[in-house]
Amino acid sequence: MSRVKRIAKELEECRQDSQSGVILKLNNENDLTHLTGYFKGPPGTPYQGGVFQVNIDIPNEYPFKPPQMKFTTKIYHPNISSVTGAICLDILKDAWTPILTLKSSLISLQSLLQSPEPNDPQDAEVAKHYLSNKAGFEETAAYWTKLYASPEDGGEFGSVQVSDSALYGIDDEIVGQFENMGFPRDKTIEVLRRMGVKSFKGVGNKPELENKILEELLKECQ
Amino acid sequence: MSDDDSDIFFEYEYDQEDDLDESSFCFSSDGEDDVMFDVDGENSDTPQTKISDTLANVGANGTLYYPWNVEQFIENKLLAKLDKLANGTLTACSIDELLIMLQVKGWQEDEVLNDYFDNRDKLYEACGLPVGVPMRNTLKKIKNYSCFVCCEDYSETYVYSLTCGHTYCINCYYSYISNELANGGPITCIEPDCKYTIPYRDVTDIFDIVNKTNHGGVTTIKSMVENPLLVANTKAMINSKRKYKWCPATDCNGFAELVGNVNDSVESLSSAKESVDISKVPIVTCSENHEFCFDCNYENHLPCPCWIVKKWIKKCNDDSETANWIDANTHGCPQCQSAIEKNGGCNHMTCKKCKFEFCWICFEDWKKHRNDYYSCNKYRNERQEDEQRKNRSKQSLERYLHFYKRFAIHENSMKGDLKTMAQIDTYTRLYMEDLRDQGKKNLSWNDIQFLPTAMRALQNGRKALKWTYCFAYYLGKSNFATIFEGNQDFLNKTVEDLSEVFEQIMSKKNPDKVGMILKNKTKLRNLSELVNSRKNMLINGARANLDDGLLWFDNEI
Repeated sequence: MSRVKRIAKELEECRQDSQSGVILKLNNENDLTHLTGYFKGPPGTPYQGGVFQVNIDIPNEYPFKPPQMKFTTKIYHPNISSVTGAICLDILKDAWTPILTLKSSLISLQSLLQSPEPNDPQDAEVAKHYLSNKAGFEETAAYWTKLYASPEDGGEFGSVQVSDSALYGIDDEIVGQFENMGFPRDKTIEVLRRMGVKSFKGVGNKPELENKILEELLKECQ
Repeated sequence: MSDDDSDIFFEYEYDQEDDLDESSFCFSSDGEDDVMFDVDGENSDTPQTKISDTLANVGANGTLYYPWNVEQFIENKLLAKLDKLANGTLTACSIDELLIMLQVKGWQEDEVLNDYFDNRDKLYEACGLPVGVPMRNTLKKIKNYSCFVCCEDYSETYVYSLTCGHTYCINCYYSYISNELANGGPITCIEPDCKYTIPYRDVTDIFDIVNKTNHGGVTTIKSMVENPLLVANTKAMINSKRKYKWCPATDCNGFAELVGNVNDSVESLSSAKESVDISKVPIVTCSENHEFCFDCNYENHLPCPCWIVKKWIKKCNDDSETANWIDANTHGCPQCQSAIEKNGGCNHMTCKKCKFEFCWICFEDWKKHRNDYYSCNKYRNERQEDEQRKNRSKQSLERYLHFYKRFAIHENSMKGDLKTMAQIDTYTRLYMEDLRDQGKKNLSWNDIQFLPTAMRALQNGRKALKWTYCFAYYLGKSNFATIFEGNQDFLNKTVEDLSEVFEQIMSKKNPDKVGMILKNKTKLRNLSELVNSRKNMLINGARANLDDGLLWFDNEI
């Protein structure tokens, strides 16, 4: 009952506010329950320069229950699933209160990009990358931003040449090494992803790790 | 009764064509509104009351427990603690403050006391109660108000605020509280970082006003036991503690608290895996007198232990596809082959088409049953010797169907009995009213109490009988197993006899139901005694023989 007025008012306020950099749009003019939110990647982060798109579903009990949000733009972040875009953020779950708004939630997402919480991850693989090799993580996250969140081509594959190894932050040299042994490129990347191996830099016992990868690859390619 | 011309028709034992309940178990759930027929009123036989400080009830198997429903529990357990604090040790605190403190401390009144005298301010802060300032919660009507949460502009509305002064309209608080109730914990101010807790009585007031203005209702929450916050908190507590279990019957608000066993403490009751000690099966009843097993949440399944029940249920679910259902639940008349579905009553069947009288269990001529011994229960494997290997899998299916069929028959009959009971109840009420109108006092309340007793005996007898088939299915072969089957026959015969008396009473041919009931009074009394004693004999015998290793469950099956 109160939902319609409240959402209409939130939309109107968001429209008038050009400062926040948050945009809210209705997916369909006649339906106030399905929206899309847009915001810019915060400066000084690997997400800088990207525009991120968030799908918003409003439950019947809104504003007493939180809106359901997930990223439609692919993003490389420990608290966001790299596959589904699902978000792990307390205010969208238990910590929601009716005082919060769609705009404030999107701003919270923006600050989540600024300060990830890798110890409470949504995407374990990304979180592991973040914790073990922050520079490598940032490189990959920036690559994803360029690839999927660039405003010019709406985040589609286009002018940028896609590199499958860079997509997962894997050193192209390793992939090449195993490719030269005759293993298919996609399988190699799959195995390396599964094992959480990004590069040989800083690895103590390189031959042992190589053997392990080989073993896995042989299993995979049987 | 169906009179159409098709080959297939269904015979109903009763005139009313009620839909069959599809649920796989029926609970003897008729105690609710019956004043006259306290059918499952086993509690009325036990002198113990429901107040926790007194003795616990003793269940079917020597289980000690308290039957509860949420209201009784709040009244007797929770509000009693509140009373103790409010009128004794903590008279300085208001009821609202005490309730919040008790809730935060999980209703441990000692903890509240300790923390209070240890550091009052710390406790108050942890509970979201104002420290150093008085509680200034306000619920008032104001004009021209725009609520920040729902964005409504009211010309006049109630608004609510806690000591913090964060004010929102009553509708928002109502929705907010309703949503937060599911968590079962204390509810704080809407403002995100404000930790003030909403007291119980304010919840009552908010709900009452909203119900009155928006839903046109009158004041609905009359007492503390109906307070939504208290009810939600209680439910959350029952869910979280192992000694409480909700009654599995449909729409039942009751639950049971397990105390122990007459011989053991509560810890020893969770029966060890594959234990054959059925004296530890914790049978309890809820406040609505639905009997259930505290361990596995099924109905009273004695003489089977829980793990056998689980195995059986799993098997029945796996195997009970349509073909098996038809095989187990319908049967062609042995003479004219018309398909017949039995939905209650006794096993003496008369085909509506060819008038052939037969036994539903063995499908032999009923005349053969006229001699005392009722022997159609034994599983005979005569053919086993001839084609043993070849027919092994077929026989295993047949064996299962043999027991499942009998299990299902009694389950259905129990549902039928419930209908019979409702009918008898109606007839008797009518008759009583009739007599009262005429100013006669021939039939007194006490005179018909034998009827619910008999019905209860029939229900319990059938329930036990039903589970003996599951028991017998898994039973290893031995002489004692044969003796068990013999006892099963005895019980079966008595249960059928008792059922038949009810059948006669309810028969269409007999218009004077009440006269018939009175005529059969002695018979009903004797038979129900007999059913009870034979049931107990069967269960006690099974328990003793399992204990002594004379009966065992065959793991191969």
